[in-house]
Amino acid sequence: MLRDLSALKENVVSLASFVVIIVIWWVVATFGSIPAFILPSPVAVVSATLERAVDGLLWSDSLASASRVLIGFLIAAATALPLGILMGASPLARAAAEPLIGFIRYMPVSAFLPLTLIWAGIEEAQKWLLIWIGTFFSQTMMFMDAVKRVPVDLLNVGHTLGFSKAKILRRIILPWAMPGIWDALRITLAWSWSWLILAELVAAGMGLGYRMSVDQRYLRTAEIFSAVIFIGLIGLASDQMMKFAGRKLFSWAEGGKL
Amino acid sequence: MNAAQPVKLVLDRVTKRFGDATTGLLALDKFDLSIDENSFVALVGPSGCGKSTALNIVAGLEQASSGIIMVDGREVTGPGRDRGVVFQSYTLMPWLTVAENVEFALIDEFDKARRRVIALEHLQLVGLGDFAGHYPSQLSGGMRQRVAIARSLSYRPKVLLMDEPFGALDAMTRYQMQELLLRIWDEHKLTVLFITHDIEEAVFLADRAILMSARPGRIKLEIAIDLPRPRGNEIRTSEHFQRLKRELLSAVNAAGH
Repeated sequence: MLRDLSALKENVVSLASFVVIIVIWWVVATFGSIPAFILPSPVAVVSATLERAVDGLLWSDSLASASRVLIGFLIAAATALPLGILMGASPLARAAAEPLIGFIRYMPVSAFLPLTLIWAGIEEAQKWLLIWIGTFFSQTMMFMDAVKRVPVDLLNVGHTLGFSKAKILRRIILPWAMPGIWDALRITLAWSWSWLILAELVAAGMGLGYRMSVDQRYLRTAEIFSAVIFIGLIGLASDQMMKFAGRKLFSWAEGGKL
Repeated sequence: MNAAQPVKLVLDRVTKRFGDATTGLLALDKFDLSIDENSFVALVGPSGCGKSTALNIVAGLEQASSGIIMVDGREVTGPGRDRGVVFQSYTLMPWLTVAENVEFALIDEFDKARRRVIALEHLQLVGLGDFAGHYPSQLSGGMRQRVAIARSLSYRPKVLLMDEPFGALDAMTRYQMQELLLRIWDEHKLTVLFITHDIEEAVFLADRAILMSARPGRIKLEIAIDLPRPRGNEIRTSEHFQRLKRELLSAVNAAGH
């Protein structure tokens, strides 16, 4: 087995790769003969970000986008949880729903965009619907998987203790599946951002995606760079928070389950 | 064995065929067994002889193709709290502490305080009183099985079914666990059906050792283990012990396994 780097060394190397990319970007943008509307310099991107932060546009757009993501994501999770758990626990439900959901999951989410506009107009509901289409089906399959993986011997313990089906579900299946369910939520939350930006690019009056579509018309490339990076940072931050919370909540699942 | 003891567990012509009703694999063929109250019976045999199938049927986790299981003269058809089971694999709930794992068997039976008292009592019984707050992942395999035994005893089943509970442990730990189990059995008087592929384990623990042959699972030889009790590890080297072991071994060899 390869030896792991020390924590310090690992952090230094990781940070260095960011610095190298930014330096190359800065050199190419400053000394290359590329027009700024194609490749703005890092300095221009930072100042565009600061400008938007100061005039408040960055925060109002972020808030609009984040609340759409949150609502769409929560609707998806709330609908996928019961179905995914049911499919994981009941072979009959699995046989009925798995092929259908598995099939829908392979349809490109972006192809549903015209339909979401026809069905839900251009207001908030359309954003939620696209996020729902983009995450519900995968969430259901991932939840099902987490539930299905409960070891049969643990279920047998419940049976020999005379537990009812409901009690086995509540006392054994759900606690066992929770870390997997949490992980699925963490992964699909990141996806929700992609679907939201797509929806906002097409139709919105606010939000980070909408702002980019306006900036594109005026060739404000530095502002677009700024928004893309900012969305990445929001995603990274929420992912890290979910990871941290997951480790706290399900510390028993660290490093293998049994 | 005490002839005055009532019969606790009866298997009457229990047959189990997997798959097709006529051509499927015959795992158990008209298997008869009766176990007296407070006696310790070991079912020994090679893997695939149907001994675990027999235990699963008694536990109610598998259905017999035909035949009857009776506990205290009453037929049982599904799993129930009159039969406690200790499995070979580790079956503690990893998100619960050691004490909570024992209390797990008592949920909805007693209030929280009473559950804790019973759990601690049984943890002390298996020598884990100081580990109540630990999580299963912090325990060795032998300790996990001790918690599983405590859990199975905590709700006072009439019969304790043990499916190779020490099979995954190293030899030294296995010896310790066998002594511990005998001590608990001596103190508490339990009816035990113990499955093992280890002849020495069967001789050390049981009042009766029943040797099974494979496909179909039938009783090949049954011997009374008339070693004195209480038994400690030193008995393993006695001539009497070795003679009983040889008797079972030669029957295994005669079976051609």
